[in-house]
Amino acid sequence: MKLSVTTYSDKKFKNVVMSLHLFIPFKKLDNTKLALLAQLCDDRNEKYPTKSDMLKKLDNMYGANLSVRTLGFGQYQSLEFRLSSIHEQYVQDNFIEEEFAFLSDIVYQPLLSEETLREAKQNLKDKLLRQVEKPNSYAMNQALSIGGQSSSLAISANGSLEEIDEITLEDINDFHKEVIQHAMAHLFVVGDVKQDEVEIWTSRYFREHRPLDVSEFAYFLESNSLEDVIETKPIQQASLVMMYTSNRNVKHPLYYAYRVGVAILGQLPTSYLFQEVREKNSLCYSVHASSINFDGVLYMNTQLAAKNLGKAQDLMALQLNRIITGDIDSSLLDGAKLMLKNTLLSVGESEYSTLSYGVQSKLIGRVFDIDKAIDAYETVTISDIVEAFKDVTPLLMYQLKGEDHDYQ
Amino acid sequence: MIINKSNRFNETQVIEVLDNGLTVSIISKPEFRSNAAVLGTPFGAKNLFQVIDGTKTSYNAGVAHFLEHKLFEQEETDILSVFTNLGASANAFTSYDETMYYFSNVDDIEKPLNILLDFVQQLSISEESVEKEKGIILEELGMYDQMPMFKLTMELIKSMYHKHPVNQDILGSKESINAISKEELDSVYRVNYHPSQMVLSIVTHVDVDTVLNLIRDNQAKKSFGPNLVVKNDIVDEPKEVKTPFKELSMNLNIPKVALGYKQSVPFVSMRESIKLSVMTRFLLEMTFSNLNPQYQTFLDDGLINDFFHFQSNYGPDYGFVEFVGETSDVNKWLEFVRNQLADLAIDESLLQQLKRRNLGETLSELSDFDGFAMASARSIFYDIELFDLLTLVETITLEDLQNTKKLLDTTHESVVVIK
Repeated sequence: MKLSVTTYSDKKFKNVVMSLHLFIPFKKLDNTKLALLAQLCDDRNEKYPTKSDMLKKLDNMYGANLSVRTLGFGQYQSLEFRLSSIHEQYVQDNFIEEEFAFLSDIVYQPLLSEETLREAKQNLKDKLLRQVEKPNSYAMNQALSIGGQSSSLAISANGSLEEIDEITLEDINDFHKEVIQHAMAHLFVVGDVKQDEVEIWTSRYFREHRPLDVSEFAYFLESNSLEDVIETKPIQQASLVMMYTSNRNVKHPLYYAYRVGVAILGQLPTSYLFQEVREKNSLCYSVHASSINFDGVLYMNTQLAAKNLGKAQDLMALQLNRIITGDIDSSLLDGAKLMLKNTLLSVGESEYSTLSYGVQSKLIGRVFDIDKAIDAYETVTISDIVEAFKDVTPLLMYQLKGEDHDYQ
Repeated sequence: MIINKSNRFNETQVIEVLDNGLTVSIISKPEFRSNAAVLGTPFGAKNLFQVIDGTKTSYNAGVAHFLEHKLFEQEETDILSVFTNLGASANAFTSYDETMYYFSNVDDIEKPLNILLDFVQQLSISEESVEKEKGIILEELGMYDQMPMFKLTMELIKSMYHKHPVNQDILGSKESINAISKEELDSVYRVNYHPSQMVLSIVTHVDVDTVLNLIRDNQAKKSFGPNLVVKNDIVDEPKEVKTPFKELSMNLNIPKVALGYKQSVPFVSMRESIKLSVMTRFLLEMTFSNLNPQYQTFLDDGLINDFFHFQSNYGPDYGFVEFVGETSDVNKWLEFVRNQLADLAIDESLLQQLKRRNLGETLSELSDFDGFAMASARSIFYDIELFDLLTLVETITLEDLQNTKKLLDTTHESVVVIK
């Protein structure tokens, strides 16, 4: 089938942003191949075989920005090709159609050779090694890997260090062909563009792809209480990750109530975690709660002095319990709903938030209707939140601390 | 009232200085629903030595950042809660050169703008709350201290500078944070937060007159003490670096290295300093980026990896150029950078390519309300007309780059390695 495209046309936007997603199931080894492919596609191309050629092409389009990256959405991962640039009218030039042509070159004709693969492998290794040099990034990676067990949550969209060297050029060539032929695909275009022109250019420059079927993206991580994990490294400040299964994901009818609850717990400046752990007890600078929306997982995370780990853990569990039992101040509830409403009202104010919301809506299988979403948030009650949180079950408590500290 | 209009960018900036000295900049974009407002002071982390009405004063490192924290937490009210309950998101930051308080939201500007003005223009703190905040800031310091890149750049600057306050962490040190008192915060606030020192910069969907009237009404209800004459004291900083080589341990997977060159360019104006920063960046890009066809060879030969980057930073009384990389062979990496610096290429076609890129990037950034508001505030701090600042790059010539190359001093070098 011809490539599906969604266009968000708005005259006030100064930039044109194109984002093509190719979706494949999350599988070990495929995740690393996809991460390598992202490196390769972002580098050089059959038509632009040197880095200088690529850069010259982008600069000819007035500093157009190309990024190719991998993302996770529940049981699927995506290879995203994103190209953004100033709209041609502001520079009295003519290159929007050229951008479509260029993006398709990037997707279909990466320069796959022993040389480029060698460089991509080294870059990916360095990236993965660098990532875990930050203690809290290491802690989060470990918690997801352990807490995710045998599900796709335990597989990293960034790839695995141990798998990189075993991938050959033949593997990558075959994998690229397979992804192009079999991945589900969707193109999003945002900017001052005409829908009919976008559809013509999409047909002209892009091939046929499987249409998007999101029915298996979102899932629920199995509820399974794991033993606490405490790791040590030669670091000064400790990291704490507390993970839970929630049985609530983007498709659940109580999703909006759940999101409001997570905001009150640990995303607003007025959140319980911020007020109690940071402001009242000065235990940390950064503390937050987050929902992994396609997997049905909730977590809380903070970085702090190791001597305060026990106290912080108790306090954080207490705040979660307040949400679970409905101990929610009504002014806090109103504030959370207002913040979420403001975020939604802001969606149409920038190309990037429009794109982000558009992709999310597509993946959830909901129509891009901001008014409906605002209504859904506005009608959330405390008892809805209690209902939304009733299945929250401890999954994993993970600590990373310095080698000389005793656990209290 | 000053009106700066740019047909090129299709934007108009209106500037007015109120009776109390507050400078207001407003850019109206009626096709949107958004608002972004920044209230800023050019008092940042490096302003540790001041001359106030002729008297020299010094502060504990980190005081600007500490004050930023305390302004959000007034004794009776948590300001962030107030913004949240209006559906606005608010934040602040402290850099070496400034402290900025800002919010963004859609639709109503009146309530959040009044809150912004009210909370920044009043400091209400107790000794107890100051002591409590120390714990939070020390944890923040601990968090950044574990991040290799923050550590690397901070240590490089400390290695280059003997006395200049840029050699202090923006947050301060454990000792200086613990030494900050309520009295010091009150004093710093009184001196540096007078309206005549500050800029209120707004990018909004609302028309200029309505916004100006809101601000005038708000300010008319307040009285401020006398403005003090404040100057930043010049530090007698030697040309030489303090520590030529330093090695630290953080148990990294890949060793990081930073190479800095201290510059001593006589200060002319902020416009010239900013132009010099950009020209230096352009000059270095022609060699140390994919603009250079040889760059692929540097990567293939393992001299650098894709993490390699550089920056140049020129202020009124300091300047440096910094190269950062990852390598297990530090000497080979250093030799590579030094050799390339000794033979920098300048190319007209590359200059045009960079200018073209810059035009697109500048136009794109005007869509970002927060960023546009901050750029407007900074243009006023620097006394540069906003659209002149945005088009500075277009004035750069090949001859400018040749002069920049001659000015670039590679005599005073510092190296920091973190393994």
